Amino acid sequence: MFDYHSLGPAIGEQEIVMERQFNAPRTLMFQVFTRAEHLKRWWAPPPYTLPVCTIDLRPGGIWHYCMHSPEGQDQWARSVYREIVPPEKLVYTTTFADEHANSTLGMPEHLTTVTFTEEGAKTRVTTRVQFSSAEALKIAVNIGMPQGMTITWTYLVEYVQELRDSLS
Amino acid sequence: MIKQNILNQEYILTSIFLIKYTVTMKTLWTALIEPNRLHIVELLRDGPLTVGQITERLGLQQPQVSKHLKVLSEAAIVEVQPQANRRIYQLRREPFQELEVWLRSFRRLWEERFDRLDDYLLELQTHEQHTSNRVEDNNV
Repeated sequence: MFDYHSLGPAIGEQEIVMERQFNAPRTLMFQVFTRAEHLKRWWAPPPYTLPVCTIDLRPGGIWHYCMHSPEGQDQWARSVYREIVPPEKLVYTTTFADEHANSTLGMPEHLTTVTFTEEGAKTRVTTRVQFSSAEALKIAVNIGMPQGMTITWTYLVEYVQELRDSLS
Repeated sequence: MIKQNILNQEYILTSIFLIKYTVTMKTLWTALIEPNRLHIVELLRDGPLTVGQITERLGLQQPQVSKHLKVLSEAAIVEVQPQANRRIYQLRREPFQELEVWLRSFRRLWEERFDRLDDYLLELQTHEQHTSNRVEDNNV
């Protein structure tokens, strides 16, 4: 049976889930997600850098950071911690912000839940992103679900089937 | 000045989310977050309607509906087809499709972030290994 979901994110659901196993102990994984000196090394997509990153690691505390482009432009974002269970779990909401950590428009507010699960000496990190105004998002995504997309997928499924037939 | 900032921000967002769709995303989202406008979009999902029909179904005053339709038009979410002396509103599909793409880019952003984290952890732990080896060497 061909799995449609393996083709991409779960469209039509109001959350995006991403998982990966990392070759590091759980305490270290929790630190690289919650300490500025670590985040500065991997959080921003290159060529952006993370020159400013302040973290107030407590429920209600703010994580405020700036992504800086080579052209000298800054994009600030802020997250508010909702739940902190070291070294297991981290929950925060995010919006874009100004340099004083006031929220600004630009992307839907979203809630991120990061869980750290021990798997032997390794750690599985699961990131679950849920958008506020889930209803609006659901309606919008459903409208956007283009027939085009379905057609492409149908072609792909047929193509895979053809490949299988030709191989067998 | 404000306009300049907005332009800069859009440029940056575009780079961060790797796509040109973010600007559309932003206007789409701002327009849809208002419940009456979302309701109008839902009504139009089933087919084009006149202002009169929308007003009737929403149970709002026509000036209010017109105001919402203006926002939706400016965000390129709806388009108007004049027909005789009536104005028929219908949805444009493009912004919604772009939202879908934006959501995908969000996932990509995280996947790339995980890649960088993987590299960083390797570097971090190799470094620690060296440091602890050096400490052991010193102890010998």
